[in-house]
Amino acid sequence: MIQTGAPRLEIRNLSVAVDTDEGQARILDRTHLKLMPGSIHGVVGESGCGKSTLMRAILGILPARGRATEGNVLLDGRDLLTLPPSVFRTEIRGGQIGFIPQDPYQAFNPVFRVGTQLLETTRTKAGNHGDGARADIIALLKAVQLPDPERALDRYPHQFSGGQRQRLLIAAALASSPAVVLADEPTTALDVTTQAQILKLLRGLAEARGLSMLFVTHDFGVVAQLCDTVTVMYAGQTVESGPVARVLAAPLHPYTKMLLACHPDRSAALSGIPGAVSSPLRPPPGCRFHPRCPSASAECSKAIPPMRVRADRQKVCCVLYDEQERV
Amino acid sequence: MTRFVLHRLLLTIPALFGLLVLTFIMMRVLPNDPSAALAGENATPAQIAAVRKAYGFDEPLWKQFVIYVEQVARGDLGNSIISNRPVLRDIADRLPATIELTFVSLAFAACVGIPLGTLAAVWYQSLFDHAMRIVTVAGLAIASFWFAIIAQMIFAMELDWLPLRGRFPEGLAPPLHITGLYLVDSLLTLRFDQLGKAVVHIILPAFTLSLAGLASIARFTRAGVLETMQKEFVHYAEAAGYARRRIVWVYVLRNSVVGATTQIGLLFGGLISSAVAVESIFDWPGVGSYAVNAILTSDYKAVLAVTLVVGLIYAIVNILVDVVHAWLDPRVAESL
Amino acid sequence: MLILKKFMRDVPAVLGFCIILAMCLVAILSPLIVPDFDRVYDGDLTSRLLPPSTEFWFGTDSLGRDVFARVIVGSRGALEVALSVVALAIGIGVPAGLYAGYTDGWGSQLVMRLTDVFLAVPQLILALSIAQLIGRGLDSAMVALALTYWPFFCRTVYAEVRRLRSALFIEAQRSLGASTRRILFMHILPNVASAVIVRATIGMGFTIMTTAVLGFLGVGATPPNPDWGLSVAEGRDYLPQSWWAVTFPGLGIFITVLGFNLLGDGLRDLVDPRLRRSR
Repeated sequence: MIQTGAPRLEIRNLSVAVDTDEGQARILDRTHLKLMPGSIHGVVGESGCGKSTLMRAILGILPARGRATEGNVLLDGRDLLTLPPSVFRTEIRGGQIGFIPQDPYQAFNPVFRVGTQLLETTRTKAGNHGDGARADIIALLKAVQLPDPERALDRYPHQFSGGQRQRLLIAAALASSPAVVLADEPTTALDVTTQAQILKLLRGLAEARGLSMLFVTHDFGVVAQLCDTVTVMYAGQTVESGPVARVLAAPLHPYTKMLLACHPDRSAALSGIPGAVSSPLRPPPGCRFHPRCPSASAECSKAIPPMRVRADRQKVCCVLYDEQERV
Repeated sequence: MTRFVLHRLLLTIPALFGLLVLTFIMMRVLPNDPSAALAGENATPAQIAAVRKAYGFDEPLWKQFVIYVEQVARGDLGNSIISNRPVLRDIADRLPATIELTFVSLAFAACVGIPLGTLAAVWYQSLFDHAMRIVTVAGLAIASFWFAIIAQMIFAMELDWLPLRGRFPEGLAPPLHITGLYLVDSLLTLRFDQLGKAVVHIILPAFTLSLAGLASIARFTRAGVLETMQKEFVHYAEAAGYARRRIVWVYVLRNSVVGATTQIGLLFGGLISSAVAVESIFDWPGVGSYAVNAILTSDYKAVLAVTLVVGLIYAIVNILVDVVHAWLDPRVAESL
Repeated sequence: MLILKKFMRDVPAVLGFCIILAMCLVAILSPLIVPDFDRVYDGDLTSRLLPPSTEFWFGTDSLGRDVFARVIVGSRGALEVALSVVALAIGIGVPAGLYAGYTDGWGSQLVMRLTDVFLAVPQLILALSIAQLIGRGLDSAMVALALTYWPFFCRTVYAEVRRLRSALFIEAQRSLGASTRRILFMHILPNVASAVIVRATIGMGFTIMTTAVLGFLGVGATPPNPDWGLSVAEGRDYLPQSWWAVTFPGLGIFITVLGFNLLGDGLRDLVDPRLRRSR
């Protein structure tokens, strides 16, 4: 469901740099996206496009030598980048923002019971202790369709299958009734059948609870199944965004077109995108895709193309669409 | 879990049996014919032969071994040349002193070493971390007997802050014997004056003994915590919003300690070894100083008995350590 | 030479190497360094217990012997003993480990049970036990120490061989018809060698320490050997006034063992990142 109104999560002009031994790596370059209430927003891009860094910036766990150099991360209007780390720990992570990790096999601590770990987030947030918390978690376990929820809490992680562990992690993410849920490619480590089940579950939960979810992935196929809206990223820049149906049917940005063409469902022949992703240490000026873009022109390297809006809320950052209405 | 314990016990039996064989061989390697010694100074050949027959020294070797095993099982390990009492009784009398010393040292080493190692890992590459690394490596290079003597010299002789030797002030009656552990007994009888004296006497020996263990524990705690912090579940815990203090001191530490428990067994062995010299220097009436005396007086039965007893205790400690490890990490118990 | 560069970046390891190099040089050149060789064994009773001075850098002991000279000569003894013990332990442990690791069946089991027996008792206790049986003195102490240390080499080699055995390239070699001996030498030995070197370095430090303890207890070196442990025992009666007789031999132990520990750590990090303990 796409709803109007103020976005729950908005990223405005966010640039993130990390100091390395070889210089400053500019991982994110003026990215922007909007997560509307009650919608599932996908973030698509190849490895190295900065999706993980984006999530870390939202959660406030950038690496020690990294920092946001400009921009805002607004959660219900509140700029998270101005908050001290302690607030992140007590309110944001495991509080207002829930997190579903990528690898269900590594996320749990093997020597602690699953229940102890699931109750951890409720332990520190104000108000929720003891039996109330336990009952809430059991209710959540039922909601994620985990068999035998009562006894599950007393078991150890290795006693569950991958799909079951992912369900546990989803329950953990929802435990604090967060405003926003971040999902980091949570189905990548699972087999295809389980993947489909989990996606279906997420869709169901989102609709039932009106969740606002940011779903990061590299797979357009998953986006097609799950998401309402999508943002396409390349090398730390936002290139296109809009309703999933529109972007899939009529991609605007050259990169989106080539990315979709790569997907095995879309083309009979195996195709790739010629060239390689540039290094964040020495990124090309302006639009970072222009070295590989078949439609590149001299304009492309001058500055990052501002976002233009097309019909039906589809937005693109490309000089090809300069004549369109500015955002 | 019981299966695991039984399995573990089963593994130990061959080693202990082998130890019996080894000690038996060592006994028989002695050049002098024991029967001559036993028969006395002026025995005639006939008397010596009679002794030999009575003790079964003329029997084939394997039969003698069986007799030996029987004796050990009965607790008869021979008499000490010096005290003329059964060796096992001597050892039993002195065991509580050694247990007390070892336990206090280990507890101190763990209580100080684990937090220090954890902090060094949490503050990785900081000044504290570098200092810790130097200190721990140095700590393992200091000979405990040398440190004991230096400590004695400084704190007892020069500064006169702590007593020079012994477990308790000479001439005073020690705490009532309930467990044989002065610290415990004085607490149980509520004699806090005795407790104070016992504490003051144990400080130097226990601290000396704990040094190598402290360094070792700090080192592998640091390594364990560093390794654990890299694991995915720590990243997830952070992202999911667990409290920082809990992440480090409950989750990370538990995993690191679990990995480290296997080291404790080795540590204990080192502790026993160091205790020999330390007890000797501080006149601590334990098994270690007993062993030293026995060696210097060629009281070979005593030495062999100490070897057997220490071997048994060491085996028990290792089993306990493995059991604790299995209890802490449920995957270990199920791997059998 | 990439390994050499990597090693040079590890400051503590390089420090350890330098210390050991220095100690070795001191030991080898001891006849030249020591001012008056006679003073090592025969003391001048008129100059007993003199504090450190320009003439006697570390002072003199209770028999008028030059402590500095004794410490220097003692380093030679310590290194020689440690080398012999470790060599002996390797000589027993490595072949045993190779055999136990490469074969299956009761021979292999027997060897490993044997290591269990020798490891059933803490090393010093076992060394004391063996030493007192063979007779007290430096030689028996050396044999005793070798007998307590061989299981470590055996186990290390055994673990390495087992690990490598399941490696595919060994299978490939076998299927190409290489003989067992050839497999052993060409493939397993180089890998095993590095683990043995690491273990040997640490073992050197450990042996020096334990030899000193045995010397101190009176079960190892005998007078007038300038063994460091023995020197400490001899100087003990004259504390606290004549602190130098005890302090300097102890420092000798400390520096040497420190050097071997640092080097051993560095080698271990270099050879097998999996075993990294302090990084």
